[in-house]
Parts: sequence; C-alpha cells; structure tokens
Amino acid sequence: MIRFYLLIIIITVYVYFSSITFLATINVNIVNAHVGEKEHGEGKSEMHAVVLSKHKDVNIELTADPMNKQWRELSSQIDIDSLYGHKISVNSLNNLTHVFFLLSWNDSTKGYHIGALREINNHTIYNTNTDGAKIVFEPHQEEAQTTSIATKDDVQNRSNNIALSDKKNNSGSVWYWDSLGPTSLSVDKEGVITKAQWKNNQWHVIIGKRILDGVHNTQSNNTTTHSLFKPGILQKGLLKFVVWDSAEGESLNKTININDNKDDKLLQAADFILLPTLNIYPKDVYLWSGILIIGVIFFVLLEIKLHNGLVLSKQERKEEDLK
Amino acid sequence: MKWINWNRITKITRKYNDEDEENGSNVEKNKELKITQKEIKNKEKSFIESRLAWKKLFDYPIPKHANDVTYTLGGTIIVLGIVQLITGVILQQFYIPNSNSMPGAYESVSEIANNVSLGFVRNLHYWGAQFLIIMVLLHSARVFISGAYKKPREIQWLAGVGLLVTVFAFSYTGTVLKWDQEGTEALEHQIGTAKIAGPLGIFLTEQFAPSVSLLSRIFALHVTAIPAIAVPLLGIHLILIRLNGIASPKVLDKYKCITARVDQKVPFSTHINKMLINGAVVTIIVIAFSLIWSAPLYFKGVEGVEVTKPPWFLLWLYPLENIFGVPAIAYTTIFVIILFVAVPIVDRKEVTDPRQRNKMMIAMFLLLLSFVGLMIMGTLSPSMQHNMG
Ligand code: HEM
Repeated sequence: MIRFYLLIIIITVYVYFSSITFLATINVNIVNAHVGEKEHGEGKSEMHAVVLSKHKDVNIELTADPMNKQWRELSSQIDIDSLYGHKISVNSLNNLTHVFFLLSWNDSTKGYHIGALREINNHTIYNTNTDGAKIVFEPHQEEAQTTSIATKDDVQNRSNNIALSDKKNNSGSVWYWDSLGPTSLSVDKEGVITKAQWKNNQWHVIIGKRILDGVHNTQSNNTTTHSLFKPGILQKGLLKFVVWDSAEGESLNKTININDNKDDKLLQAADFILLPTLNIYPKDVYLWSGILIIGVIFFVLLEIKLHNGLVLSKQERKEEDLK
Repeated sequence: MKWINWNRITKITRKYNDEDEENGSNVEKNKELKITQKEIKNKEKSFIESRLAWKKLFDYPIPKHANDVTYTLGGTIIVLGIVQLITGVILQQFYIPNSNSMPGAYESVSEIANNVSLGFVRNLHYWGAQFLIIMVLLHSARVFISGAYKKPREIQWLAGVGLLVTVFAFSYTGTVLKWDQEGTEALEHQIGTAKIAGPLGIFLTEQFAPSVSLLSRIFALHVTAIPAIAVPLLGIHLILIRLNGIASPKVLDKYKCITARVDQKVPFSTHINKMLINGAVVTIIVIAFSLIWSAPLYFKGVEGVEVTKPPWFLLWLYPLENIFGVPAIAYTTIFVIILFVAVPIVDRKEVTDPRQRNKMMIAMFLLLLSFVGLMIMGTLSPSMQHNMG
C-alpha cells in the first residue's frame, strides 16, 4: 500500500515539474513575441525614477539636516542623476497643504561669486554665478491620470481637465533656490519656500511650496489643490531636478531654457506621487492579537475543565492508594 | 427535533406485549401505549426522511461537549463561508478583472465602494474575511489544545491545514484584486517571492502567461481554483468528522492507562442549531463592523512604489522581510506549513489533557507569541521599500 502511495506521489511530482518546464519553454517564445509587439506599439512606457512625497500628519520641520529623524525615517530617498554629472538625493514630504523637497548633492565649495543679476519670467532676480538648484514641473497631461474613479462624469471631467491645463498655464513651474540668498528660511515672490545648509562638502536644500489654496493653482475647480498635487495620483515624468556648482563654472544660465537647451533634453524626468495619509501603523493588529490570545487561554482553561472529571484529585488518589 | 430513545420504545413495546399475553389491562398501560404509538409513528419514515435520510444525517448521537462554544467554531466558519460566497458572487457581477483597461479593476472597486448598497456588500465581504481568518486560527488552536489531531484524526488535521492555506490564499488574492496601492504591492511581493521558487513559482508570475494580465489570473484563482480546492478539502474534513466522531478527552490515569471521557450523548441536530446560532451571532458582528468601518481602499496602485504594509494576517512576515529580505517570505511560509503538518506526526501519544502535554503546549504558546510579536513589530516599524530582485 505504501509503495502504491509513493508511486502516485512520485508520478505527480514528475508530471508537475515536466509540465511546468514545458510551459516555461513555450512561454519564452510568447514572451519574445509579446516584447517585440510592445516595442512597436504605442503602449510602451518609459520607466522613470519615482519621487514619493510621503505624508506627515504633524507639522513638517523645516530642517535641511538630512540626518533629522523626519527625513531619515518618514520620507523615502531616491538618487537621481542630473546635469553635469551631479547625483542628487531627493527626499520629499507633504502634509497635504505644503509639499517640501530636500535635495542633497556633493559640492566641495560653499562659496559664491558675485556676478551679474538676471531676471527670470519678469519677476525674480537671480544671481547667475552662484550654486543653486531648481525643480522643474513639466506636466504630461496625456499621461497623467487626473481621476482615480472612472464614472461617466469623470471621463467628461478628465477631458475638461486636459482642455483646461494647456501648456501656457503649466509652463514656468520652476522652483528655484540659489546660494546668494539667505540659507535660513526664506520665501520668494512666487511663494517658494527655501532653506539650505552646507555641511561636509554637501549642499542640503529644502525647496517647497504651499499646494493648497491656489498658490500654484491655475485651474480652480471646487477643490483648491492643484491637479498636479492631487494625492495618490501618479504624475508621469513630472519632475526634473537640476543643480549647479559655480566653482565648476556651471550656472543657472545653462539650464534656464528647459525646452531649448540640449543638455536639459538629456535630463531624465522623474515620476511624482503625492501620498495621502496611509495606514502605516495598522491598529487592527491589536484587535486580532487580543482575540487570539484571549481565545487560546480560554480554550486551555476549558479543555482542562473538560479533562478534570477524569483525573482523580489528590484526595481521591490517596484514597485509591490506601485501598 | 426530538431525540427518540429507542431503548425505551423497545422496552415499553416488549412490556406491553408480555402483559397483553397475560390479558391484563389498566389505565397506566393504556397511557404508556399511547406514548409508544406516538413514538413508533415518529419512527415511521416521513416523506423527506425516506428520501433524504434526514434523521440519519442529523440525529446520530454526539457527545455533549461537542456543543461547547469552542467545539462549534468549525460550524461557525462554515456559516461565515456561506456569507462570503453570497457577497462574493454579488461583487463579482460588478468587478472588472483587468488591470490594463480603463475603467479597470481599481475603478470598478472604487465604484462598488462608492455605491451605498454595493459598498455595504463589499464591507461585509471584507469583514467576513477578517473574521473567517481569525476563526480558522482559533479553530485550529482549539483542535490543537484538545489534542484532536491524534490518531485516528491525522487526515482531518491535514485537510484542516489545507483549508488554512486556502483561507490565506483567498484573503491574499482578495487583497490583490482591489488593485490599489496595497494590492499592487502585494502582487509585487508575490512575484518577488515566486521567483525564488524557480520553476515551481513560475505559475505565480507574469511569465507564465505574458499576454494575460496577472491580475486576471489572480481573479481566476480567487473565484475558481481556490474554491475548487477548498470545497473538496472541506468535504473530506467533514466526512471524516462524521466517521471518526468528535474527539473525546483522554487522560493518562494513575495506573498509566488511558481513560477516555464518556460523555452524555445528544443528537447532532442540537449541534447544527448551535452552529447556526453562533454563526448568526458572528454574522451580526460582521454586519455591525461593516456598518461602522469601510473596507480599506487606497489610491490606485503605482508599480515600483512601496509605501503600505501588508494586511494584519500577513503582517508577521513584514519584519522578517525587513531584516532578511524578500526570500524570507517564502521560507517562513514553507516553514510554518511544515510545522503545522508535523503536529500529528510529532505528537502521537494518546493523552489529550493539556497538562499532560507540556512540550506541545509550550510549542504552541511560543508560536502564538512569535506570531503576535512579529505582527506588532510589523505595525510599529517604519514602512520600507524592499528589493524584489
Ligand atoms: C475553512 C476552514 C475550516 C472549516 C470550515 C472547518 C470545519 C470543521 C468542523 C465543522 C469541525 C467539527 C468540530 C468543530 O466544529 O470544532 C472541525 C473539526 C476539526 N478540524 Fe476543522 N475546519 C477548518 C479548518 C481547520 C484547520 C485549519 C484545522 C487544523 C489545522 C482543522 C482541524 C480539525 C480537526 C483535527 C477536527 C476534528 C476535531 C475533533 O474531532 O475534535 N480544521 N472542522
């Protein structure tokens, strides 16, 4: 009988393995065909780095110290290659009213050179020979998912959204910081909040902005949050990060015309997602753990009670022994 | 249903026949005769009885302790299983099992969640699943503590372990189906884990059928393959309980002999009643939970991003994954299944008294504490991005 069972087990295992391997070999062909198809098709989507702006319930501390617990534990860091061979570490946090980025990159000189001042977009004056950083927002509306729930209305809304947010409205979304200004907390005319720190041959710069109440809002619907900052919606290829080191002869100049400059075209865009509050400390665990522990203790007691009638008590045992 | 005492009927009938032979008659006798006739009439097979053997099925004697709450957990799980089936079939009508279409899986779940009555059905399905898992864990704990996995019930235990795995498989695939951030992350972990298993795991990756969305296949598992495994397993489980009877307490007495408890007998129908009542109570609790708390649904899943944590019944794997990496999920799962399978093989002594099975009890409490401890660690640790390899 045992031999019979063993035989059945062996046959089953054999059939399983051989069929799986067989299927796997067929699939190689299917995979190849599929991949080929995909390359020609329109559905091909580039893989970007994803910048996550994690949610912090309480106030975000405006400290540019990357070793601060807030940046170390709450945000998730991603390294992005940028122009001039700079590698930028990007962290981001939001509290649904503001979003902040912490950029860190190597730069062995804190110094800045006083140079010509330059006007950008007719309203801000920047020094062109300084160290600096900018975050460029370039929405790709065709790709961005502007709605998360597709009802009939939403499909309508979505086309409205695309219509509303034409290139003009969304261009010029560039947040700057440069080392001419104070490293302490400052807010520029466009409402961009910055704070910087130079430490151990590295710049650590916070760049952020209020995202509620239309500071960045060009399309006011009922909601006051800009569509780029709708929580939980992935914005494909939205962000570009650029930093420059004046000591190396780099400057904002070279990076100013995002659409014309060849270098900038080479610049890889990153996806962006602003995360809403997540249940990252799930409390239901305590409920189920409690039920389990109480249940098990109760079962043990009940089983002991069930067994009690059977086992002679000490007194009874003594009496039995005397007999 | 009334419990017929056959001994009494035969005794009275015999007494009546004897006395009849002596031609004696009195009021007392007539009274007894009437009762007996009634009981004999009961014995005559009714329409249903002759066709469905209803009484044979439901009126066989079982020991009284089988009606303790702890011994009705299995039946309560069946009731919850029926709730899951009904709510599941309703949800299935409105679900789009496709991750690539627009509207797709996530959009259909959002719509279900936003609709008042369908949202309630979804909540029922979610909370039903949570309670089902906890009840299955409690039921296996009860079986373990009462030593009911011992000879001749080893196969029952093994079928039970199979059911435990299917319950987890149901819950896991269900988590993926909503295709929100939690679902996508769960799927990515599945793919990462399946890769470790090599050819054995290929079934659970996209590679197996690249032209079909993996989500569609997970959906197929959730609604066809897993039930198709669970139902026969449950069949074996229940038939064996009927054949082997419910386990009775056994102790090692002072003569080092095994003494079994001989309990008062009650008809099985009383157990069915208990099971339905307890099932109704748990269902009411599930309804209450569903009215108060909605089933979670995060934003639409973003691939390559890891920001959520697994649901509680998988959360114990999370700290292990944080420390040892994704392979830990596969190895720990296999290890735990082996532990469960090993129980009736390791502990073969006949005693069932927990006090006489110290080692097994210690092992159980260690497992329970590590399960709970790891879950709490998982909840308290910051969320992390893992390398899927
Ligand atoms: C879907 C899950 C399950 C269902 C519906 C189920 C159902 C049942 C039912 C109705 C009984 C009768 C006694 C009672 O209710 O306590 C029972 C007994 C039993 N179950 Fe399960 N069960 C399930 C899972 C499990 C698991 C996970 C295990 C163990 C790992 C297990 C092992 C046993 C054993 C050994 C018995 C016999 C107990 C005895 O004779 O005292 N079952 N099961």
